[in-house]
Amino acid sequence: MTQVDSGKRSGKRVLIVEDDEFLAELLGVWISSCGFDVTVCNHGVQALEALKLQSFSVVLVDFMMPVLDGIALVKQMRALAYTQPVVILSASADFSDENLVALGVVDCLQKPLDENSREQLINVLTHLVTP
Amino acid sequence: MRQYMLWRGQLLSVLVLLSLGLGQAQGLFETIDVLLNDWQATWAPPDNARASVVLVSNEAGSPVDQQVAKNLLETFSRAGASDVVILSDNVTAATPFRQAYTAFQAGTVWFPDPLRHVELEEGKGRWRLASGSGEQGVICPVSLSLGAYRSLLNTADAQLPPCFEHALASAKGIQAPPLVRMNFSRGDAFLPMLSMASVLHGDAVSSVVKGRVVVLALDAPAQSFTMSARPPSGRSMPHWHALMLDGILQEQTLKRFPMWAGLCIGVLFFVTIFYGLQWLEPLVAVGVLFVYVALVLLAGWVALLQHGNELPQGYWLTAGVMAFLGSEQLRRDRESMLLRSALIGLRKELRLHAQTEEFYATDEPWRQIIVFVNQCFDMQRSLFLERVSGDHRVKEVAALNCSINDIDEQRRDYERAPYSIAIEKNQPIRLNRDYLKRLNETDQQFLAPLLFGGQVLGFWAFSLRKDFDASADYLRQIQQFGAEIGELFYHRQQWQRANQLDNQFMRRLIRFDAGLGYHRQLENLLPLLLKRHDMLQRFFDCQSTACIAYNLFGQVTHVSARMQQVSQQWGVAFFNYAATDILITLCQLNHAQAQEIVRRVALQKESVSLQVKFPEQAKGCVIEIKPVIFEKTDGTDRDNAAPFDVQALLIELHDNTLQRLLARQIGDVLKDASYKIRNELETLSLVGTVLEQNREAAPAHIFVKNIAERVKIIRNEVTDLQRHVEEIFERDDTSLFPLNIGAHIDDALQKNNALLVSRRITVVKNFPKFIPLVWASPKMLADILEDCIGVLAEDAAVNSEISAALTVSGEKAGQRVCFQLENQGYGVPEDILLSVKGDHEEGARYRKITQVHMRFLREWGGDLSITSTLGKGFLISLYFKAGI
Repeated sequence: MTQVDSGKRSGKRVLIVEDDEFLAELLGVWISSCGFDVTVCNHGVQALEALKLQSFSVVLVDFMMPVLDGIALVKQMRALAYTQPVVILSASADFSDENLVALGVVDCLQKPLDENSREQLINVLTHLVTP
Repeated sequence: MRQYMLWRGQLLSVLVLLSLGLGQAQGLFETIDVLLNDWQATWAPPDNARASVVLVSNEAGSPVDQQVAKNLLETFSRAGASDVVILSDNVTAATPFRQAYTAFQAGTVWFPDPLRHVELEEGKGRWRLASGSGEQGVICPVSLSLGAYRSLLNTADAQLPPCFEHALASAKGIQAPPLVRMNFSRGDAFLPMLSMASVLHGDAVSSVVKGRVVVLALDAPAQSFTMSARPPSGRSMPHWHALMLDGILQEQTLKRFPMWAGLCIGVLFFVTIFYGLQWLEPLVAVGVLFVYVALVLLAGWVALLQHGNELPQGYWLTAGVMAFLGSEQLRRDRESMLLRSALIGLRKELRLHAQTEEFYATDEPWRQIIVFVNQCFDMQRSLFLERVSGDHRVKEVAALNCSINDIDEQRRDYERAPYSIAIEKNQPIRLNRDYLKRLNETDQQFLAPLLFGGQVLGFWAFSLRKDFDASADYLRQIQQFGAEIGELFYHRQQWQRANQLDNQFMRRLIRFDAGLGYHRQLENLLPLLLKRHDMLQRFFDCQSTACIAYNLFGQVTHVSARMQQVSQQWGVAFFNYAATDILITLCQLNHAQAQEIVRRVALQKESVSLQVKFPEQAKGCVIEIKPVIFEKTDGTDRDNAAPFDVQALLIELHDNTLQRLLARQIGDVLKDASYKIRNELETLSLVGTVLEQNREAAPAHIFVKNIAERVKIIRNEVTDLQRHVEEIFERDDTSLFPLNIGAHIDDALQKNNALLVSRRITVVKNFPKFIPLVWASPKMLADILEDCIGVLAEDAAVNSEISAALTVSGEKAGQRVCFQLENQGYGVPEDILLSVKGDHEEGARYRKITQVHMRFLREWGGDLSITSTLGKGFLISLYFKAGI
């Protein structure tokens, strides 16, 4: 678990769960540079621990992960009464899937993240953390 | 020649028709007509008409004096007889009547004299009767014609006094033709007859005689001429004259059908039958001829009975039969012409293609055997020896890769070694000492017998290089070849013998076969033609492409065996479909599109290929519709006139499943690789963005290190991609493909879904992010996965879970993918699970997995293990060689 602060302590806390460590770190740096406080986890179990320790405004989850995949993580979060909105990053997930919506997944972004997706991600995060 | 052949039938028919007409005019068919009339008369019903004549005969032969004559005439007069004819062969017998004829007051007494009493009237150049009282005439002699006294010729035309029948009829105003024929169909029962004695006695004379002409026959029957002809019972001469007189008076004599009308009708019949029968099958034509004959006979019978008319039945029947024969001749001419041209064409064609006949007929069959052998065996030298006919010696006849004189062995007697040993063993024998001439390099020499049915037909000597592995299997093949060659030569001998016998002139004469050349040729050619057709059919059927041929009118003309197989597999009866229907069904085109395609093929002679739309994505098939174009003729030959060059449409189905699968695999590989590459590139792009936005915050050293790693990953991906594509194209086993096992597992779960749902079994999948493709045969992999999941689902406890885990082990080329399935179930004892034989019935369901499926996985470079624990369930592990 890595903490990446924006340096501004904005209170806009984002949890990134991504098994590709470098990509996770990169995303953390980039999202924090956009004004968010970011915590990076590399698998679902780590993410659940992070959720226990602090609260997050939004959780960014990779769909395919070892140990505990994206959907399993979201299911466990809901089972443990974590109600944060979840954004899925996936190469194959389809947001039209009713199960995802029922689990409180608010958006689903296609990987790899190109410039448009990244812009869209920031917009979604901004929208979600704004009261 | 051909034109003559074409018109020969018609020319003959016209000649026959003219001859028949001439014959009819000359009375050629009169005999047939009268015979037919006599026969038809026997089928006539009895005639109940009232006779005009009564015959009174002197049966007792009593002498008649003037008093008797007077009494008789007075009696007839009283009874109301219209005329009395005194008939006797003896002129003096009528004298009493001449003296007493005035006693007959009612009408006329006729004294006809026999013709021999007619005298030439001097100075007048005509004949007259010797005596001169009363009305007279002559009793004309009746000549026998065709066994029946049937005609009466009026002598008046010959300047003689008329015969009494004509004279009497003329006196009554009835003009009879000069020649009258007796109508036998009336019979003779209707003619009343009295004896002279009963007349003199006065017995009921009046009722019989009244109004009738009395013919009084004075001669005793014994003296009268008794006729033996129609009716067969016979009748006397007076009786005949009485019947004839009655026939003339009642106008019931036979009338001839007008000759010109008969001729015209005959011509009409001839022409109608001649042309009409050509349309009919020979058997039907014979039937029609019989009907025609029956109708003519019926018409003749009706005409005879109803109108007393004598139809020219003989002429009409002959004309009908000749027309039938003419039309048959014409048919035969056409057939023979067709046969001739077919034979010429066939002989030419078969000479080119019928190998068997060529082999049988050729003088150099061994040359062909050499070529045949050379195609199959790599021998250093080959020499064939043929048995000398009728001897126990052999002679060398053909050689391959050496001279025909390469045999060093002097003996040629096959009853001695080494030939006798080869015959005894009936297999190729290795020759220990040099049989063939020694070469620079040593070789292995063999001698194989060519036997069939116990007959020695020759030998096959051959040598192999020293290092060649002349295995038992190889020598067995040589032995089989030798047997085949022996059989071929045996049949050739038989064929030549039969052919020789067939061509012997005397033998043909004995078989009454002197000039049936075409038929014999046809007999010989037809089996060859059938064989050729059969061979072509087999060629057509051997094609792996499914074909169906249509003529221009959309009718199926041929369906290949493969197409029939495909029809069964797909459940589509292609042979009931028109070409457009096939396109509509298989390519999901609308009618107009299908029509447009067929039009393009038929008129623009284009070939069109379309992809068949299958519900199953994995199957791939291309339908190709192409024109079958025949060589254009000059158009002058009517039989070959073909306004369309395109004579048929050929539809072929090409199975391109393999190509589609390959394309899919390459697509999958590219998709997978491009995703990975894009992922890395986007990561690098993100690095750029981060560095640009927040250069200070970014840990540059980590970034640089990772950038290098990512570039390395991209490079490796590109290398892998290249390797995988090469692997796909260059693999030896074309039945194996790199497959997405995840997709196949999902399909197998779907197939077992009903069972899983009914037992409320949850499948917990644990698949890695990226699963390499695995090498397997698509269909078999589907079967294996379905069976394995099926076994676990059946064994699993209700409401339990099946864990399905995929793991990847190893690196790159040596990577293996393990698919592990574990259930929570009941399990089976090990002896049942591993029962190889059919000892345990329960074991049968596992045997397929432990034997068949395991074998396939091992062939694919993987493995399979299955274990079971009682009370716990099954664990099945499938190992695959990772492809990509």
